[in-house]
Amino acid sequence: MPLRNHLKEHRARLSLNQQQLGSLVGASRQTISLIERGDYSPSVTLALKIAKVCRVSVETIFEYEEDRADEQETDKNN
Amino acid sequence: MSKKQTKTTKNVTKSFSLIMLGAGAFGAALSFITLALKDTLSGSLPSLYTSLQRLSPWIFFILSAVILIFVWGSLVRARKFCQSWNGENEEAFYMQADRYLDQPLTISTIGTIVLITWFGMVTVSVFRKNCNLYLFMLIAVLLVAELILLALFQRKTVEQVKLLNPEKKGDALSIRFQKEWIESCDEQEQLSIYRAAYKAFSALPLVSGVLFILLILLLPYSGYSFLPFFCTGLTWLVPTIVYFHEAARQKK
Repeated sequence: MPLRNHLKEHRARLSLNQQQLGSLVGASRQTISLIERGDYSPSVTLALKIAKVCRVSVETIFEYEEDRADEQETDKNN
Repeated sequence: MSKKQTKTTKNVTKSFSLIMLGAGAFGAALSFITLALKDTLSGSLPSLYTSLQRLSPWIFFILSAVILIFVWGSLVRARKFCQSWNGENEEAFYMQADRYLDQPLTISTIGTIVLITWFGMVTVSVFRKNCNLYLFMLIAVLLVAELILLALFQRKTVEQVKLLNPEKKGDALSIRFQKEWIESCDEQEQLSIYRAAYKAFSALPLVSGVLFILLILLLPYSGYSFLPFFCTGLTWLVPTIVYFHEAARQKK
């Protein structure tokens, strides 16, 4: 999956378990687990809901792998 | 069309033609073998069929018992596991619990289909006078009782799933269960259900094709007429029509 995420860290910061975070964003515990493992990329709506609950921007939680590769390339050139 | 696309199209057409030729040759070989074994099959298949009919009631009793034991056993194991959780290692617990809870649902669903299908065999044996009518009536009552029990086990399993996943809705015995359950699933769970359903649908052409071949090959040695062909065709046709109709509806 090309989407990396830091959801587990943000969930730990808020002291929520997967079930509790799932209830807050309207997703199941299973979906939260799959997102954290990188086995499922959430829809835009779900990603925005998660970001809102974590009180951060979407980009802070989710990182597109190609963007990361581009950044590393830019850093190398500089 | 670009040069690369034309090359890909040519390769695919070549592969398709080879597969069709190979399938035709395989079919011809199978027919030749079946005709060559005509005498053996003419003698052995009808007697095998008659023996199967005579044994069908007892096979039904064995199947009923085995299915019931497996469903009950897997449900008890799943419930014990869920009740024994000490609150640690949440992710590993839920993954294992999901695996355990899938088993009674899978076995009971497949078991229901197997029992109904085998009951058909018992019915055939009654009409061919290879089974006692009173035994058949007992089996009919047993089938109904078993189907009710399996449905109740499914309900208990679903209740356990709902304990672990409180957002889920639906009573397994309700006619609205499928609708309510899917509506209570989130985007990922609905996607999983649809993917699994599509995979099941994709198996239809292969299974139906194999069935047709078997029916044609065994036709000289069995007493059936057009009905099995019609049933196989209908079982293939109906889901296909439903699929195309629903796909067209989704585009609007």
